[in-house]
Amino acid sequence: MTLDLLDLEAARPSEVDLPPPPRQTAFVQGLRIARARPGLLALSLALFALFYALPLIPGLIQREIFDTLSGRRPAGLDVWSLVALWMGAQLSPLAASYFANWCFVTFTSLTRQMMRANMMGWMMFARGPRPSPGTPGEALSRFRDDVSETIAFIEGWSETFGQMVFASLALVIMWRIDPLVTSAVIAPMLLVVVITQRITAGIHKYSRVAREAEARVTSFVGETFAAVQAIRVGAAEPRVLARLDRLNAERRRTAVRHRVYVTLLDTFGSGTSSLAFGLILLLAAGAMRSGRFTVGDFTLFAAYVGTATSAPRWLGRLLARKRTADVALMRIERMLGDAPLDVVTAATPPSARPAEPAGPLERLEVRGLTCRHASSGKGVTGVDFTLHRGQVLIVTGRVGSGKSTLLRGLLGLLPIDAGEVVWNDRPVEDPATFLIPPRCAYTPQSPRLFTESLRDNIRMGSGASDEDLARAVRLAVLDDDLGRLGQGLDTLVGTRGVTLSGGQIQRAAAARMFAGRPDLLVLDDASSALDVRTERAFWDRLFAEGGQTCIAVSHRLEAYRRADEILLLDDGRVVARGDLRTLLADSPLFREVWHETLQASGEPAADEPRGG
Amino acid sequence: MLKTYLRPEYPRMAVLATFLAAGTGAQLIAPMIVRMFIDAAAAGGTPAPLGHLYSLAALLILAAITAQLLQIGATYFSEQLGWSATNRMRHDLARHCLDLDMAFHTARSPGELIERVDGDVAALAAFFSQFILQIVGGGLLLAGILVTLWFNDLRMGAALTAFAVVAGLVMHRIRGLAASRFERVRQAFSDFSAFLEERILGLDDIRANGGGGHVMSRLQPRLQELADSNVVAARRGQWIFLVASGLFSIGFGLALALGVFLQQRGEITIGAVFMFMQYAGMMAVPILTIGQQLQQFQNATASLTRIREVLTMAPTLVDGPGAGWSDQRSAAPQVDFENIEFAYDGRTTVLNDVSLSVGRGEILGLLGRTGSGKTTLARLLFRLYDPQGGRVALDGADIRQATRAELRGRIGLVTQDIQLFDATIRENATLFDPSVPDARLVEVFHDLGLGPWFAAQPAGLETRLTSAGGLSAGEAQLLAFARVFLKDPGLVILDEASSRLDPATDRLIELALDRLLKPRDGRPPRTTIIIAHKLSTVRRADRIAILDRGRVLEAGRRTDLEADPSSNFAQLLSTGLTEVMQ
Repeated sequence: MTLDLLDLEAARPSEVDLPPPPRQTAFVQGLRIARARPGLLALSLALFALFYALPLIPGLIQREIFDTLSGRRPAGLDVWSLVALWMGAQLSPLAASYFANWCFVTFTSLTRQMMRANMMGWMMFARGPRPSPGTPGEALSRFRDDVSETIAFIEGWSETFGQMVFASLALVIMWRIDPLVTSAVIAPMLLVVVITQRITAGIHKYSRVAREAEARVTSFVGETFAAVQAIRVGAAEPRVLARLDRLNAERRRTAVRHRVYVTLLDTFGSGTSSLAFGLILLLAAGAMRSGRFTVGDFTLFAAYVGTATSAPRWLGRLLARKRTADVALMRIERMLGDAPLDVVTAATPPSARPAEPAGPLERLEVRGLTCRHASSGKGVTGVDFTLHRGQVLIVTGRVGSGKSTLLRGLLGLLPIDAGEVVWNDRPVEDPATFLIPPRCAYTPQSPRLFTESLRDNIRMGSGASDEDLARAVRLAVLDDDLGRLGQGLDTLVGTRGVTLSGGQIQRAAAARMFAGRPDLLVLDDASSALDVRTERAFWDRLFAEGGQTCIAVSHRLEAYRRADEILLLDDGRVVARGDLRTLLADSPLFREVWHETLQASGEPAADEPRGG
Repeated sequence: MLKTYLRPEYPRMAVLATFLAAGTGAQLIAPMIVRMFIDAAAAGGTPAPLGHLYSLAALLILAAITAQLLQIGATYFSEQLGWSATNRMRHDLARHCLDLDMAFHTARSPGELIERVDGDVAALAAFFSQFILQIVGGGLLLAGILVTLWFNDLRMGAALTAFAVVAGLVMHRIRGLAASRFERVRQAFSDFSAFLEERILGLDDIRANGGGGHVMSRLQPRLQELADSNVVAARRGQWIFLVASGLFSIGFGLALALGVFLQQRGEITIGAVFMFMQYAGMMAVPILTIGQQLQQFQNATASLTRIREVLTMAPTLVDGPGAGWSDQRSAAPQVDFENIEFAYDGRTTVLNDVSLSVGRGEILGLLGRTGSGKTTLARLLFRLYDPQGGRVALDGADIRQATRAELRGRIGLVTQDIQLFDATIRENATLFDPSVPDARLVEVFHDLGLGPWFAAQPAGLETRLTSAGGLSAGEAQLLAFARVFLKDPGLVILDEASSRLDPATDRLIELALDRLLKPRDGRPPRTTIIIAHKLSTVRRADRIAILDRGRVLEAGRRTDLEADPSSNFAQLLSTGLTEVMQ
């Protein structure tokens, strides 16, 4: 099965003409993949060779039959025995093909599985911040189509290998009959090698364009269904469909062009074998008239010429597949970021690394943390703070002041430009793999749940006991909701399960953070989708638990009041710090934010008659 | 269903047929030339002049080249045909899915729908374009060969025709052998896609909470199923290849044996024996490709089944006869919810006998805990769902009387989430409506306080936004607001509009709200429903309704409720105030 692949990154004009980076070659990677399952591949290749070589035998028998018919050969075996032998020889490759296919599909299926697990493993466990894998549609085409394209290159090996075995043996047999007529087969083969190269270059170019067009369709379909409610509410269905039609038309144009080029290559190949056959007629004419070249010889040449001349075509096709695989690997590489060459083709997927040794949190220090988005230039600059065990740090500021960036940079989810995180006097080498349970856990601003039971979502493999779960659920103020969900913690949630409300999702994510009893809690506006009472309960329970070390982005009064320190960010810098009282006294900006907070909390005095 | 999509392609099919017929002729000539050559070069008696042999060789080469050129032409037309037919299908599927109930969408991830709308159709595209080329082209060639054989020798013609019939029947019998195996592969892919999509979107959640091991343990069974289903499918498919290849060898052998028999009796020349073998060999190509296409056909049948499955799903929400609202898009309606009963799954009641009214131009503040049914009420108003009991009315007319386009044209919605398209700012703000003037867009951005943000965009309205980022949560929400402003509806629903924003952006939105709610050029103000957890958001409300577990706990004029210290609303206010005062 061949699945056409998709690409979005390459759609950006500046990148269209980038050649694949030289370090990533499908051939080297193919060898590594082969090394993961050497026995299975060797067996497949042997069976393929057999499948391709066996058809040589009926050709030889056919030659005897026709020479007997034309009376050129004194009968050894009678002609009917020869016909029976021919029939048997004709059927023999079929048995080989069944086993060759079985072996080989097992090999390709297992190696595809291996690559996919490797890619996922890298995204899960690699050190440092992960670059965005793009939209789910793009990531899907990396995992599905680019992996298939890479393995398709190895599929080409077996076919080419079999063809080569047949072609070499056939040429030896023909050469021994008549070297001159054999040259009628060899000359066009050489021609094919040259011209195929040119056509495949064109195929390479047009296939890339076609895939880009295809990727745009796929991504747009995905986005459309992700935004289905907005489209309905905006009554935008006709306009969305019109855009789909435009993308479809472009895809058709590019796909047809690519396909015609591929056919050009195919027909050129089979045209070559017809040409070679014609040349055999030309060169054999004299010899046949004089009787040096028999009808039997002629039929043998006719039987071999097709497969023998197609051998270079297979080679050309293999090269084309290699180019496709190069591009596929390049895209996979780009998605994985800094992955070393051998990660995607390793026999076992990456797994969690043992953490740097570190005692329980006593003191967390952040020094000069600078983290700017490359594109927008937004972010945070030179943030310092120190947090002792059991303290609560609240980060606040206006939209775009860099609060989330600070947390994400600290956790190693974003690449940082400068600064370090120090855990008990010891600089953390890689926050991304260090600030995880049991040391630290995180609730993002828009948390995600997965299609599995609520229990699995909260536990997420942490090995939390039932008691830990009960505590986490209570701390996250999720206990009341559990009763209302049909099966409590066993309720299937996520896109294909029960749809939770925004507040429930946020609290479930908070429970996930609590479940592993981490030393350090990092919350990004964790209570923003909660109503007043739920939110009060959330903070009450969190602080009542005592001893929790916590960094939270919040604008909540409850949080401000309990904070040991508040950091006020403005345009990525800390512009004020201290407890609530200090900030109210010293910082005009904080007083402004504070005032806005009061309003947002619904002070009726702020109520005004309707405008106009 | 195939017919529907092929009918507009008839002209292309006619051209294609011409190319195929001419190509078949060119292919049929070749073996006759070879027969003449063998008989002229090697037969007993006086050998033919060498020049005659050379011209036969040249003729053979010419026929081969012609056949190849025609093949390329045929490919071009069949590809055009396949893609235009499947593009229409993709369009229809997308339109149909957009029309289906929300329950259909909440039950499926976008990744799964990509497989349905794009993956299955792409599988069909290959089938459409190859089917005619291979099956029809192959069939033509097969028929041509048989006719030629009949003309040359009745017995040979009869034998190979009988063979072709048997072969055809056998191929037909094994057609259904392995259709379900592709079903399993596709299902496995679809599960994998859905799994992957969620993990990609939740990558930070997983990594920062140490969930990698858990994800990997969930991934392995899915990958295993992909590999297993693929091996099983390929092994079953191989049987079809074996049967076809075996058949072809038998036909080939039949021609050889019969040829030898006839030649031994002196009835045909040795060149004719070879010609018959060549024709029998040529039969193999159409028999094999037809066999392979039947394999594709199974693949396509599986896709087609799934496509039909989607297309036959009827939306339970259908357009009413129309209420003539198309010229009232901006007119503020009176909204009535009357005795609404609703459950998403038909069992667990979400709304229980809810009755609420909002007068023309009034503002209703809807309060209640998470899960109390506020958002559901808004969805009913949009007819994303229909209630099981009671009715929703605009200006007294049941909204089920109107077409959905009419209804939704009158209402604007700001949700807490905004989904962005990988498209320009303009396309995102207008949802691909090119008729909105640029100046209007820029004006709305400025009104909303997005001016500085917009000024920083490198390509202005044509700047591409990506779903991956580029907008802060606040900016994204203001963009959602912009959509409503551009639409200028008479009824607006704000669903927790300010919940995720910080105070400064809250204020920006309050300012935007001021503009949205004030009378518009002499027309009355919009009717507005504000759904919020926070009291500040409803401080503009004329009326208040508090929902609790799907029931109306309290409803009335805001000023009345405020004045009554025993009201829930007053208590809520004091809770909020306590928090503020401490």
